[in-house]
Amino acid sequence: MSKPEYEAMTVRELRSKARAMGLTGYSAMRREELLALLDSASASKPAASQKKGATAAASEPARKGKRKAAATKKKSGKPTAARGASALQKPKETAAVEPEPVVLPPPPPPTYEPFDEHRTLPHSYSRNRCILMLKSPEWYFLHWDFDQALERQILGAGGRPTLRVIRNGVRDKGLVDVMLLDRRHYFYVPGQEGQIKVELGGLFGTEFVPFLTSNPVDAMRLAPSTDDTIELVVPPWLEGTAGDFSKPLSRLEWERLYGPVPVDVPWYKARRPKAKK
Amino acid sequence: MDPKGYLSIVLHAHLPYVRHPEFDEFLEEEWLYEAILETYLPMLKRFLQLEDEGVEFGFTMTISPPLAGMLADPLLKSRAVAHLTKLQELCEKEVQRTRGDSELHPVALFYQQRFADLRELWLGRLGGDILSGFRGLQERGHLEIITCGATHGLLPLMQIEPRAVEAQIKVGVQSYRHHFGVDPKGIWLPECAYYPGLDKVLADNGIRFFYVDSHGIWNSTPRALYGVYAPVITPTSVAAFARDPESSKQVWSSKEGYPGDFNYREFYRDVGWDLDFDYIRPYIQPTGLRKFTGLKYYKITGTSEHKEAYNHAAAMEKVADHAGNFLFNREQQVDYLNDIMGRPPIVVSPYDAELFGHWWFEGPDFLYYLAKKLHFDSKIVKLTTPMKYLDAFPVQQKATPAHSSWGDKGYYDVWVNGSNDWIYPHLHEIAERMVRLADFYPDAEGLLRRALNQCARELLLAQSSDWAFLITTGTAIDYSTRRTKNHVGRFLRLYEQILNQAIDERYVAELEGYDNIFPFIDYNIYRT
Repeated sequence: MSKPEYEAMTVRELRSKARAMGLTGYSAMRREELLALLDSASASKPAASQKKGATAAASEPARKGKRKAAATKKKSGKPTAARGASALQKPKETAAVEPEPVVLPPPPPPTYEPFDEHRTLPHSYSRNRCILMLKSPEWYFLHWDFDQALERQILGAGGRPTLRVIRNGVRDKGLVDVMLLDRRHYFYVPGQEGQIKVELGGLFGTEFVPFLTSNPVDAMRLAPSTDDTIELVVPPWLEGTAGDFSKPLSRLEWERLYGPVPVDVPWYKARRPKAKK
Repeated sequence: MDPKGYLSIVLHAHLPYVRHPEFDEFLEEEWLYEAILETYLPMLKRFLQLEDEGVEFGFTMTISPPLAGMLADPLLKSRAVAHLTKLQELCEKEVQRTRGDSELHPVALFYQQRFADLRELWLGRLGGDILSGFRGLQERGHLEIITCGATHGLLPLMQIEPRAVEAQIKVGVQSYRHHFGVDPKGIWLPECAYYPGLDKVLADNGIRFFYVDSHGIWNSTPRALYGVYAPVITPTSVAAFARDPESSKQVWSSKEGYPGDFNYREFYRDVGWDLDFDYIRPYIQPTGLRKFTGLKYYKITGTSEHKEAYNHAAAMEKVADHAGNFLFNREQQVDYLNDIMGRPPIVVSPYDAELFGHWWFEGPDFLYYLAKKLHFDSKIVKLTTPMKYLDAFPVQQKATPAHSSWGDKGYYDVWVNGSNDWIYPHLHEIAERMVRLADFYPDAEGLLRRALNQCARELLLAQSSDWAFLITTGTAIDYSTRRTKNHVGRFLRLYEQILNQAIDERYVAELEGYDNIFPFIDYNIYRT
């Protein structure tokens, strides 16, 4: 694209163009700055446009059309549609002027911009399942997916989407309201021992009907163990008998050394912020 | 005389796989160039110097598979050299520009000399191969290099698909073999994140030891008698070493830590931001946006905006002081622990390697002085590595560490929270689909095999914990989001092509060009 063409665009279009080119820092720029940015960027990237091969030879309006087609494709939420076919679709206004050619041209080479190949991902895989993950001691993250049939069974039948926690095989009495379409939920289960599972279902009046059951997760330990067993071993890949355990620390000494064990360990991880300024 | 205790320094070198052949210049690729010039080369230089001076030393170091892959990649290598050349060109100009400025001119000369030295080391002594420098140090017994998860994926969040965890470990081991020619003895678990049961996967892959954070051992079952000052052996016979909080704090902490000393170089004052736009234009981003160039003229000086010129000699004096102070504290610590434990403790101090040099410019010099002082001055503490320690003390307590990571708050909050949890439904879905593909098409040949292998690469790259981390810290949200979406999207597109038996060879070839990590990969690792 040349400079005059940029000048014909609105600031909003310029910004989206800058984003499409993988540039940064454009959001706070004024029109003149944006023009300068795009101008210098397109001048410094001749190789990128050459990569498009045959497409580069295609006329400017045709390329615009393809980009539009690609944009529609992305909106439809089906990024995996055959590229050849969607690239051939012409934008409506062009189609109105030119009749469809009878002989289809050979499929064009890939025209996607590798770095922006996928702007959106499917919001659902239409599968009925829920997966439970540990986040930190006593905090859990659940994400779930469902198909239309299940959606009808819960929402369509007037049920309230609800979670129920199962601790060590015992179902909690309390129920948790969730938004089915959120597909994710964080929740808190106090207590340190045992296995946690979750049921996702619908509350119909006062009756809870479970539809999905999550994977089981073992709760985290967040305090020192009360088990003081001393079992000494030599790993099979080592030899020898060295290693003195004649003076194991008593619980008192141990606590004197370590103090109360912190659950939060906030003092480190000043990790490199891989920053763009 | 036997020492009273041991110190084990662990340097975890990792960067996410960032390689964009589709652009001539790409800002995020500079993470690698900066790390090469500020951390890996200066560190190698100091280690080789220790060797030349006859100092006995032993550090443990992770070189993560993505980092090893990038260091060995010809395209990135040539771009990194070009980056250095350009920097040297700027340096020449700076030497001219600052002539007459009695404060800044010496600093410009210092950089000119420094870059020339690093260039000589890199392209001369090492023949352009940074990995060979580390490999050589390992072969001569000064470094114990360990591996990491294939793409630094956070393993506790992948448990739902056990094959995904196994693949991260397996490919991590294969990558190590590919780059270093031998099997790894140890592993740095990505983000130091451990869950009970993970040790079985490590044992199956021939790993002898790994690390956990302090609370992983504090909360182990049964209670670890010597806490973090002795390793434990898991039921599957893998040794777990734990981080010592005290020594970590001395270096990490932004308040009490050494790197904040006023004599050290100030990171945030860079000529890329300070100098006249027209003058610096050729050395900043092609779009005209400013960036860090690596030429930084000032010392931290104080807490105010006022900054004074950097004095390298004064900084070296200070860093030697700090190394002495660190050693003094370790001697005190070890002496005390030895007394109450009745045996020599091991103090394990792990750090991000990039802290040394990139953030803390004088960090590699700190390691140099520390190793030297330990060798010549200390009778109480001796530097060791895990395998050396285990050979000397094979009898250990059996225990299973607890869930833990070295992230903020000690668990997985950094990688799963409201800002980045959208990643996991996709990661879990494509991991499951990968296993399905591997089961459907065992031992495929030709194009199908290539497509399947590429699926495995896209899955692994999407699993990088760096994306979730960078989204949480808010430092490269846009880039990390795109990377995640691209790898997941590419996987899904390939998956569809494979199932429809309509694999587009050109597409596969293009992806092989962009995401070219792990040339040796075999998707059959995902088979059940």
